[in-house]
Amino acid sequence: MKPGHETQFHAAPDGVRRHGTTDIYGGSLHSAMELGSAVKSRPRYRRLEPDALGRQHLLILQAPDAGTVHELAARFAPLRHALSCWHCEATPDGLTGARFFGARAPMLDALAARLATAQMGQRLYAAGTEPFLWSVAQICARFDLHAPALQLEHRGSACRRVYCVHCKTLFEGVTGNPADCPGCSLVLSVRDHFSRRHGAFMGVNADAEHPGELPSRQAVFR
Amino acid sequence: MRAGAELALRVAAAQMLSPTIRYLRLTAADGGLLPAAGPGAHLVLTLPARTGSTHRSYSLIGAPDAREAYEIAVRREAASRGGSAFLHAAEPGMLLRCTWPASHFAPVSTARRHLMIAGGVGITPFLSYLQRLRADGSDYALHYCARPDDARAFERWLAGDTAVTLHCGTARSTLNLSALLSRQPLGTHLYVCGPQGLMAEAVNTALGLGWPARHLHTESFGAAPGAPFTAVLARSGLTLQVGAHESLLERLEAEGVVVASLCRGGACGVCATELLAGEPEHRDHFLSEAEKVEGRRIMVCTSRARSGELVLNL
Repeated sequence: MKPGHETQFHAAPDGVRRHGTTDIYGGSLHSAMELGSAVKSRPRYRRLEPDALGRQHLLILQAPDAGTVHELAARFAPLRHALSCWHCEATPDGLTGARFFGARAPMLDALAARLATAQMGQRLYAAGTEPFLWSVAQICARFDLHAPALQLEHRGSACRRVYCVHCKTLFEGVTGNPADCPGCSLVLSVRDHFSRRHGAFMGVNADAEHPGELPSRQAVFR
Repeated sequence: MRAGAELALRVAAAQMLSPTIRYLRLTAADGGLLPAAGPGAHLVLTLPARTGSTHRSYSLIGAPDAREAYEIAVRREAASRGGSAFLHAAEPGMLLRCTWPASHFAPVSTARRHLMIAGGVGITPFLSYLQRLRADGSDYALHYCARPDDARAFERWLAGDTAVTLHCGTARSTLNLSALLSRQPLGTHLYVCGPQGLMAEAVNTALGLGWPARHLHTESFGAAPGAPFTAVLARSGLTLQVGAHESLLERLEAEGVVVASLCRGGACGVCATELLAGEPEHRDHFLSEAEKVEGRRIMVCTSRARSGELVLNL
């Protein structure tokens, strides 16, 4: 997955949405093909870039290795006076300066608490897998924090969160296609259609039209 | 969009709110119900002018979704081009025509807080906002920069509301935009309506404090005067002289040139017209900065020529 091209929100100060290129989440109509998908809802990601217009900055990394931490520390050095760093699920040994959360749920709770007292001018940067990024984005959406004030960079596994359109079960860590729904046991074709509200890709019955004819299982989301 | 669809209205009540502001209550001419309009909506009234007719936008100041009547407040402009002078002479019983109400300036439903800044008669769209925000129990604040007689004119909508701060008297010396905009909770949306200078200062201050553009909303009103210029219509072969106190759209309409339009304030984009030559002064909020630099389209309701003449594909 290569970094997408720039996500820009073309709005005049009145907030009137321009025709064409972007939506409030930073998704773009012409980028989908770059990620190997013609599906317009499929999100794309960009390299995190420090936004000097912000006044408070929060950088959240999912299980970063030491190289990632050093790389981002260098990149964000111009903002360090107003920057907080959080590491989630794992953190490199011997590094200090970042707040560490062993699991995603308490980090998301802390994020909601932080944003509840934040001011306009807040910027948030997250790097990790797509389910991680969209869990963060869902909290941000509660505070009307979207691109470009929210930046998402995909790092690590291409595993997906999938939403079963038949039984509404959400399940994590999907690497294969088709996938078995843990809710209703249907075999699901994992689509590129993505729901920002659920932070998940849509899974639909893989043999609905020709029962019993299932595509071969492939580990495509590694 | 219902560009073209018209409503027939009757003046049901008229009252001076101040020496310069007249309140009008308008009902359907046939006594029926009117189309509902959300907070921040406006009407475009068709008014008689020296030659033909002219169009003026007015915010609805009554309760959002009220269908029995529309209420507007009209400032008598010293250099009235006909619109405000005509409405200041309007008495109950008079018939008026208008468009269906439209809104390009509605409060944002996902906002966690609504911060409104009004200057002068720019308070009008916020009078309907206030009624909706109070009913919804929303978090909001309104800062109103006004001369004392303007503040008195709208007192009945504002009195007793602790979320309303008046900045009366000498200019707006008591409103510190930088201090105000630097301490707003995440999820606040800013709405500004008033003189161009106030809107530009508020928006630029907010952008400088890291507010994303999508949280900033402005509505301008009236055609600000500018230098006269010439408009050449390439397809019809007409050459028009646009005066200092009229808009390009008004001149086109006076000459019988049909251009679809809706908000008349540079917000909706309906009147976008292809520009073939000339140096435009873009005053709208619709085109992106890149499109303004490119200069291939112009919003004829608000924008003018920077110098000399414009050649339009009309």
